[in-house]
Amino acid sequence: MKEVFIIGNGVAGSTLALNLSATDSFRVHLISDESDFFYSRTALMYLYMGHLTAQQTEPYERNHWEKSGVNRIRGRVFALDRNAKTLTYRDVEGNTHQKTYDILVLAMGSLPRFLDWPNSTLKGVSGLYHLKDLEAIEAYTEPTKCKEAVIIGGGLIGVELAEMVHSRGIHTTMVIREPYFWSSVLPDSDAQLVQKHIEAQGIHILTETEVSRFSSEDGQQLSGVQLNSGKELSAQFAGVCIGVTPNTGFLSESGLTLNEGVVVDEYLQTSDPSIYAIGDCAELKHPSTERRAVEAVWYVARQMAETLSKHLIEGRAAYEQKHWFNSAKFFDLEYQTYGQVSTSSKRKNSEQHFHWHPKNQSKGITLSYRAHDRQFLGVNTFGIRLKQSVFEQWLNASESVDTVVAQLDRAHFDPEFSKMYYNDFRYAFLSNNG
Amino acid sequence: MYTGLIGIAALISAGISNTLGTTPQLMASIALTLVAVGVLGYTYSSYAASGPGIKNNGVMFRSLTQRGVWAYASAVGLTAFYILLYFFDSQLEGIIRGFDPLSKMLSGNPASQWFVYGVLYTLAILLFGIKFIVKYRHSRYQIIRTISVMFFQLVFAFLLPELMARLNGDLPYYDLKNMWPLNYYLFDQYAVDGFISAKQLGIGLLLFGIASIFIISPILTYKFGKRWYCSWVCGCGGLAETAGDAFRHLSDNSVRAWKLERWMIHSILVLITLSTVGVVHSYLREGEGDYWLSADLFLGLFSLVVILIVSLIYFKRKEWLAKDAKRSILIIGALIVGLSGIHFLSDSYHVFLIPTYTLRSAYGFFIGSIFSGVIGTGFYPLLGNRVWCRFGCPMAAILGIQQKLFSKFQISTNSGQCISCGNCSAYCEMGIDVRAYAQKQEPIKRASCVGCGICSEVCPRGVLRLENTANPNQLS
Ligand SMILES: Cc1cc2nc3c(=O)[nH]c(=O)nc-3n(C[C@H](O)[C@H](O)[C@H](O)COP(=O)(O)OP(=O)(O)OC[C@H]3O[C@@H](n4cnc5c(N)ncnc54)[C@H](O)[C@@H]3O)c2cc1C
Ligand code: SF4
Repeated sequence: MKEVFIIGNGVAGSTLALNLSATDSFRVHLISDESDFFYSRTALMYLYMGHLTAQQTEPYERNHWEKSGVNRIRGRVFALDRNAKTLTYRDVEGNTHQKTYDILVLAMGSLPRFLDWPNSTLKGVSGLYHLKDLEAIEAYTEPTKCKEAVIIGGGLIGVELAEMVHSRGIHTTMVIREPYFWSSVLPDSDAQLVQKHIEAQGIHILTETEVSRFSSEDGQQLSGVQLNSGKELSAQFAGVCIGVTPNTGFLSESGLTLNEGVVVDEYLQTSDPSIYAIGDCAELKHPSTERRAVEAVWYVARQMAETLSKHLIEGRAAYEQKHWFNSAKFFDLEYQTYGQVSTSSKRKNSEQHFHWHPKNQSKGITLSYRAHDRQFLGVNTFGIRLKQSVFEQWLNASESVDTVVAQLDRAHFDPEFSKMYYNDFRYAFLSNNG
Repeated sequence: MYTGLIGIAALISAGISNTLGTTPQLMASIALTLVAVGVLGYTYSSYAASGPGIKNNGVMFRSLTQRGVWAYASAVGLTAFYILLYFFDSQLEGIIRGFDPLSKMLSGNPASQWFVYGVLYTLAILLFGIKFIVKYRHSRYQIIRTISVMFFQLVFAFLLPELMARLNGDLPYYDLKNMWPLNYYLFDQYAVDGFISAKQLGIGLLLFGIASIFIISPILTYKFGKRWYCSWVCGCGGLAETAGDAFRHLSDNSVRAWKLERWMIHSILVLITLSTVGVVHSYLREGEGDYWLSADLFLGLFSLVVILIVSLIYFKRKEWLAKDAKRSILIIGALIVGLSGIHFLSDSYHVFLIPTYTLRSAYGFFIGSIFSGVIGTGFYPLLGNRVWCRFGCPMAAILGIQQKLFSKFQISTNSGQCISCGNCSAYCEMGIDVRAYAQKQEPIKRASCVGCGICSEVCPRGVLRLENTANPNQLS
């Protein structure tokens, strides 16, 4: 029996732990400092808004963990001795323990990014990543104290946080560096569509604006957010959502190869053969051309965990970045993407986009394809659910955009009786393409 | 909401007012109007004012929806109402008289306590149906489905039986859409005699009743899953979907609850089958010669059907049997023991030495009244809105077996898009842990799924889709 220690009980660590413990070859120890049981980080907003209770955000029943045989440890790992193959952690009572591992897996996730703005330690300023952040936000946004909030950053966590505080009747302003909401990821046509939807919910968006400092009247509690324009927004809460960075915490002295994250090869192995890294904290040494070395999303963390499970149980399973996909929800607007759709600023002339949306509705589809041979490259869809497996077939077969348009109904995934937009879309596409 | 409360208060005082001598009719109309205004006003202020989309903010914080004081208070209130209705209807005399004009208009008879119950029940489905439609107005599936339950309740459960009673006084109350075994008294002697004495129309209805169990329902379930009945047609389901919607997240979705569910629902199915067979058998034997079917022929036919079904399951669905072998064998065993029990231990008045009608009235009391009424509806705010459908309804059990065995219905998942957030499981009124399947990228094919489609609505990533295109031979 190999002693496997996994640090971090997020989706990466927990998926791996359950898979390994289902075989007889490993004794699995799962150490994490945030919570006793794996919970879904993506559900933090639903917890705050009262859609879910804390226990409902746990993807596996507690009984399931008891039966799995995984040894769950609540504690924080702070030291690693690679020569002796030991790690040291501090438990909740403050006692330290040293353990010897055969295999160590780092699944420590991310940390919210902060810039060195003056006064960012004031009460009322918080990122959103861990449960303790949610507790802080809960306290800061107490309706009697908080009437105005500023959310800094136009990304997925930013819009979730905006929806959260807005749901408590707080006047919410988003401060965004880019010209449109999330135009660091979406082409402008799509970014505008989303931004319009968010604004229609009552959120104010200031674009091409940056924060210069936080201000306070009493030196403790936030009272305003100062912008680079010199203007000051009155605010009792400021949410910092300018992205996340891989959590490499205590590893700086360990001698492991680190870059932005913990660098791993295609077997998710670090520079030390008995140590692996998966999920948000891992950085791929050789990412595929269309994808990035660090991809801090749920699906990647889970796929890495599945691959590493296979690698450790069956041997030699490499992690492969296949076609990119992602999904999100901006207030009531659902978004899905398959393949590659570049932003307007990064798009080269070889990549053509066709964007369509029905008048006065928060819905739309953007297709991207290669200009010279019309090969289909990817799709963004808003308010229309499309089937991932069909798009994967098309992408694998390097299908032409004309085929995709002609057969778009095959990817239909909206609920029964929903209005179907494929004919409108097709008509628009054909009239645009002669 | 407060207007609604005043309305209910007015209804109660209508009961008292009888003794005070004011006109109960007036009180009843005022009361119902107030209830309607209350529900519609609540709908407007909570849902219509904001745009379309999911409206679950604060569900887990509110006293009424999170088992707080208000939840207990309403459960006690509802339960008290059922107890009065079933056992102390004389106390309701004042209220009942208030409904006389309406009843006379429809059937020509004065109102009974059941008429009052029917009016309130139908009104609840209509008013909360409107609330549901406004709440889920972004979804055509939800709108159409809700119009369907409202229609079936109003026309089939409420108006038609009353009008039929007017046309043909002999005909027993028959809600066309209520099949045996939900309508467990369908084959009781008084009912069958009633049908027969009502001549063509009656016999037609009786045949329709038999056809709906053995022909219509399996075909529809094959094509659409049991949802065609449970969340589109059924009255119990209709109330659960509309008035019970606010409590759907209270259904227990632990594995333990699932185990209990399977045990309970199948035991009740066996019980109701045996007691119905027993009842029919005993009056056939008693009146040998009065009916064209003899008691022994009936038993023989019934055994044949059981054997046919069991062998069908055995040869067509071996995997399924293996997985749940213990339960299946137990059910079959119970049925067979039961059948021979009827044969050897029954005479005209007894099934297994227990007087037939004692068995029947025990079933009627514990299952029909206490379970489906008091616990099933009265406990909405504590146990969720589908307790009866999930743990007690024999009809749901039969449709569930059909759904599991040979239906094209399933909930498909959109590949690997699930973020394990848990909304689907939390808002599943049948307590299915939908997420457990979605995060493994498996389709959901569960016997209990009534196809309400709410998991698909609340999923923030569009992962789930109800479909009629599954290969019915594939198991999840
Ligand atoms: C609000 C929010 C919404 C999101 N929504 C989406 C979404 O919709 N879709 C999507 O794809 N992605 C989403 N993400 C990103 C997604 O949640 C992450 O990619 C994913 O959770 C990463 O999982 P992980 O297992 O790598 O790490 P984590 O979930 O971060 O788990 C790591 C755990 O390790 C613990 N830990 C770290 N260091 C130590 C140590 N030294 N000792 C002990 N324990 C330690 C941490 O406390 C943490 O609990 C969202 C993230 C946030 C914050
Ligand atoms: S609601 Fe959707 S994303 Fe959330 S757990 Fe269910 S299927 Fe997964």
